Amino acid sequence: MIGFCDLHYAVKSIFLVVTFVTVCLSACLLPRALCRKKLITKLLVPLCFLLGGAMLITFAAQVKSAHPAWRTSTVVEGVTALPIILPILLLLAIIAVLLIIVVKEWRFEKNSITRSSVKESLDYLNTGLCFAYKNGMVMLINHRMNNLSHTIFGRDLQNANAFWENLINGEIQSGVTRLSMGANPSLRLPDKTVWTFAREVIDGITQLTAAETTRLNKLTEELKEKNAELTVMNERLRKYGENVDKLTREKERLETKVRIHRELGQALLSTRRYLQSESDNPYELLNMLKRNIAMLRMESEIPKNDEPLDILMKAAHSAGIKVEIVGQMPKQKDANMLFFDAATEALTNAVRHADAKTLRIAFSEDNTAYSVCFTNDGNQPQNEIVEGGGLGSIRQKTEQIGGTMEVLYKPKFILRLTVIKKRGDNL
Amino acid sequence: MINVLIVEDDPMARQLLEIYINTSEKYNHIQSVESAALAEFCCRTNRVDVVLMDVCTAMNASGLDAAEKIKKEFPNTKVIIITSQPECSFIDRAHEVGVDSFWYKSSKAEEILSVIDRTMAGEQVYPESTPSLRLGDTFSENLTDRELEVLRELVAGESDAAIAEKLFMSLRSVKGHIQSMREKTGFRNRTELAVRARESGLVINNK
Repeated sequence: MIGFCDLHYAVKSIFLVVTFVTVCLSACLLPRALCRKKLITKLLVPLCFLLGGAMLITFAAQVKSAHPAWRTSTVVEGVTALPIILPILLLLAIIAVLLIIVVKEWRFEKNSITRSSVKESLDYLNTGLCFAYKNGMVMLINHRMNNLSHTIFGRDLQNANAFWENLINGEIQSGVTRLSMGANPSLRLPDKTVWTFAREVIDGITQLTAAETTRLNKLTEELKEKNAELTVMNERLRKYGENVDKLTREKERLETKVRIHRELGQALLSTRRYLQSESDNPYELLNMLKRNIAMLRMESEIPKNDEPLDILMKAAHSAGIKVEIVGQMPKQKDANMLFFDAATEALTNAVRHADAKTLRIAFSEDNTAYSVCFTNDGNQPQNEIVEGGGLGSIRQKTEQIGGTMEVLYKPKFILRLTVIKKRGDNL
Repeated sequence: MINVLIVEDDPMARQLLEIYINTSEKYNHIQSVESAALAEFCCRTNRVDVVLMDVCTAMNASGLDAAEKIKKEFPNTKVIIITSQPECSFIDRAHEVGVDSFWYKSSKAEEILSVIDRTMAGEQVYPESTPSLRLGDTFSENLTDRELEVLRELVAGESDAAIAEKLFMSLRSVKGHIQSMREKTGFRNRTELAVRARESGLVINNK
């Protein structure tokens, strides 16, 4: 049988090169294999390394023995004299085992998450991420967050707690602008991008995130502008509505005038018919003429509407109730409307519950608010006032405009309303 | 004689109604007030048999709200709403609060007196239908009730968000209703829709 020692020098060299490569491969796999949990992997790779190494040393020693100064041991001679098929089979077995382990390792790398893969993936994220211990010491941080820290503060992120505090009130680099503070501070960087930061504590670990919100910020600003425009537009619409009311009233008056003239024409026609003895109902004609004369008189003297309090006083006077007024009705629209509503309610209640003959209304104001106080000379209530639909509705209207309402029944009935003055509304 | 209270803020319309009543032998005009807020007080201090009342009166007092109070406190007093506004919700609300009759101001004297006569005879006199109003490319009857509710808030100058909150609907629904009305009417934007609706008198919302 041919042994290694009988082979040609070139074949020996090839055999040694293959063995060397195998040993190198097993050496590379050693650190990984020793970290694996599986015992078989832990044993096989070192075994391959040792066997390969031993083969390399033995066969290299035999090749070297060709030199006259080199003397080989009997063990080396014995091993190299073994049939060549044995070392070849052993080498193939080692290569096969190593290849299987390489394939497994490759699959493992591809399908499992390791510490480095976590770090690598975090670094690829466009979102800034930083995890830190409770005292702020950084546990894990990605490139984006570090870059942001550099851009905003000009230094690395060393402590997450200090970074967060500085985001809110620390010194920032020139060119960086704070857009909003609070729970999620937003900053505009010199490259015009906007970043919004968030902080969350999860099981004692602080998580800082930074998301690019440039587009969102732009859209929010656009929305704000549009809303401001819309508010102005809505206010104009409301005022336009008031003008339309005036126009509608004018239109109504015009229609009334047209109606009067139409009825006048009808009256003249009826008169002619009567005179021509075509009609025998003088009473109907008389009524029509009376109405027309009154209408014509009215058209030449269109009365003007009274002020709100005059309307109230006129109605009260016609019912024999005297209204005493102290002070001036506020001109602020919401207070004016509310106080008129309250005055009508107070007047109705004074007649309904107290059988009063006089209603007293006292308007007053200070730097901040308008007030009105209603009292009457009727029977004073014996028990606490229960607010029904009328007073309840006044209270609701008062609170809707941010005012206050007070109802007292001892020593006498007092209804007091206060409405806050609007800015720039001083009489 | 039948005592009549007139609640009307427009002096010309008020005087015209007074003339109609004064020239009629059956009716006695006892008082006129400009604001519906005083209608209940007048009914309490006078024997009022019938109230002729406008819907929109002085100091933003609603004639329909006043009618509700009057019908509650004085069920025997007849209430006739006389308006010039074609607002589609007025008739429904009048039915709801128990108004005896509902008619339009533009009618002739005989017609209005006839409505009063029929009401006093126990009849409920209402127009057969709400007047049909043209709004852009469509007519008022083609708008749904919910669209009209949104439109009513829109003409008062409310934002979409405020409308949604007030009508208990989502912002998307409000936008959807406005879009639907714009498609029906052919108006370019919400402002044009609101302005034209306000001008037509289809919806009224005085705040």
